[in-house]
Amino acid sequence: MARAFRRRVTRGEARSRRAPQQGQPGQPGRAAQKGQPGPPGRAAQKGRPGQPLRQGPHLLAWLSQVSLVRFLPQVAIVCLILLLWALATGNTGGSFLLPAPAAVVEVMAKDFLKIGESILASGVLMAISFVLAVTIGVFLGMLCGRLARLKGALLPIARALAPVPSLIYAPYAVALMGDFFVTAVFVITLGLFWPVLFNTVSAIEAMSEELDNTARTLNLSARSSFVHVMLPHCLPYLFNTLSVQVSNAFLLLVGAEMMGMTAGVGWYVKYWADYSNFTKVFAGIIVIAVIVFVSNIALEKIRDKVLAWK
Amino acid sequence: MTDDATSMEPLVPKLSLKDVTLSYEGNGRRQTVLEDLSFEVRTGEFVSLIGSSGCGKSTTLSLISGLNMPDSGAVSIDGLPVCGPGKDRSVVFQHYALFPWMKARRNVEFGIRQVSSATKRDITAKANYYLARVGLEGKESLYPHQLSGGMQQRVSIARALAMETEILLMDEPFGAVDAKTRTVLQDLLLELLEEQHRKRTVVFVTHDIDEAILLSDRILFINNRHVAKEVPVPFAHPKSRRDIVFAPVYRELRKEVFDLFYDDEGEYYGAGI
Ligand SMILES: Nc1ncnc2c1ncn2[C@@H]1O[C@H](COP(=O)(O)OP(=O)(O)OP(=O)(O)O)[C@@H](O)[C@H]1O
Ligand SMILES: [Mg+2]
Repeated sequence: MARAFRRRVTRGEARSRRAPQQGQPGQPGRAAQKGQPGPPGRAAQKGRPGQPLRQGPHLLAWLSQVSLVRFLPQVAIVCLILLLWALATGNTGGSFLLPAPAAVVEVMAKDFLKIGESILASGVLMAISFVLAVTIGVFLGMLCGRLARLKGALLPIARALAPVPSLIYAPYAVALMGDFFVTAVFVITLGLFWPVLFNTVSAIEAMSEELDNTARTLNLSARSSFVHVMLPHCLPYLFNTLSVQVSNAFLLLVGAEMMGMTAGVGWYVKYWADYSNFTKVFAGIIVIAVIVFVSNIALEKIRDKVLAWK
Repeated sequence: MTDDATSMEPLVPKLSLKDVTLSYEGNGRRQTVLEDLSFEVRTGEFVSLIGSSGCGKSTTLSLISGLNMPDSGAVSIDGLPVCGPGKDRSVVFQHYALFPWMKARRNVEFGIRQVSSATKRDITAKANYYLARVGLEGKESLYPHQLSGGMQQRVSIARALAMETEILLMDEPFGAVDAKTRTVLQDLLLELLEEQHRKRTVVFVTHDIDEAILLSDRILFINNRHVAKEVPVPFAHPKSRRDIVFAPVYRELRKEVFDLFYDDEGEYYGAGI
């Protein structure tokens, strides 16, 4: 259902993107190819007299198709929540615990420098942690898939350690490494590392015998086998894991930023909650929600690109 | 022709299996699949393995390809024991296996690259050539999931052919293609082997008696865990489908191979071992 919906929109998007090209002289447009008389592209230009005029409706059509139609259900739900929120606060300007939407927006506008800095700080933290967790987790997972003995030694211990919330190690990490940023990276990386590792191991286990045999009879070098067979085979599993782990990562982020950081979306919420400034807390929560939403879409886009062969 | 072949024949066979025994462990039970299986294949010879389903044809190929090791006995190539897969062999599996993340051309190129140090351009050219030969011109840039089962099988055949290894192992390679394509591919295989001066040694598994007669120099019937019967195919090279099908000996040969599948009481050798 959702898939069909997406496909329809993408097609519309593609069509509206192609439209200006049809009008370019010398480049046979689609209409011209269908055998219509006249110089190529003339049919496409009909009804669009001027260059500047064309851009307006075109952009609008594109926006309405891409943003509104695609996110219509989400937008509807968000609107509903906003409406309920506005109704609950009435025109009193909200209460101490529940500030009015207008107040929150005002705070966002006023505090946009610190919020911007926080988004940047959290983004850097997240990016480093994701890259580290994926690199180490996938590599170790593939190594375990290759070396049964390593797997036998490592995996039971890993499974025992994984349920320990990585935040627990934070004080020790600070003591050992003496740096709050490194500690935050460590906490998030570790939390992401376990699921990436386990899923990579089971991805390798799920590799079909035929594929494995083919790879073996091709006499691949270890490097070739890692890069050209095991890694691409693991990618779909990895993307599944990551899309599940995005929210987990943000939970960890909030926890990790509590310690010694001076910026970050998690830090922002926590900091103002300690001061009982719930207008700012609300602003921070909305920022986090938007970031998570955007991250999920970005991840989906990357996945569609990387897994074109699926 | 025959004289020529005999005079050039080396002392050691290209491929030899000697008293090979292999059993699988499954569900706590040990099942002996091959026992005292022996046969030899000369350089440039085309040998077909036939036998009822489950008689151990694929298992025999897996021993030659080096995916499996015998419990006892010896598998050797050029007199040297096989101890794993090697660059001198390419395999087409019964259940064709392409890398789903590589386009058709890339799948073939990837195979070639493992056995050749040619330049990227030469490898691409060779991949295109073999894909065209198996009738996949214009499909080079499609991913396996965009191809039909028969087309995927043809890509894997192209990959094995393009690797141009000394030994070609094929496990029911034409099982998944339609009858028309099947005859085209059979003719193609004969043609290519002939073009390459029959330097390549082929071990071919099939269920199809006509296919076995058309392609092979010798047919090995596997039953009771070993080679139960050996049927030489007397047609001269270069082979042509027309000459073979209309040869008087063809019917006799066909009956001889057909009868292998039935015991003295006329019972069909079932899938059991
Ligand atoms: N990996 C395995 N583990 C356990 N038993 C196996 C395995 N592979 C094959 N066997 C058993 O070995 C026997 C021979 O199998 P094999 O695949 O070699 O038969 P085959 O002659 O190729 O049959 P078919 O014509 O159906 O492909 C079968 O009885 C099968 O049950
Ligand atoms: Mg088989």
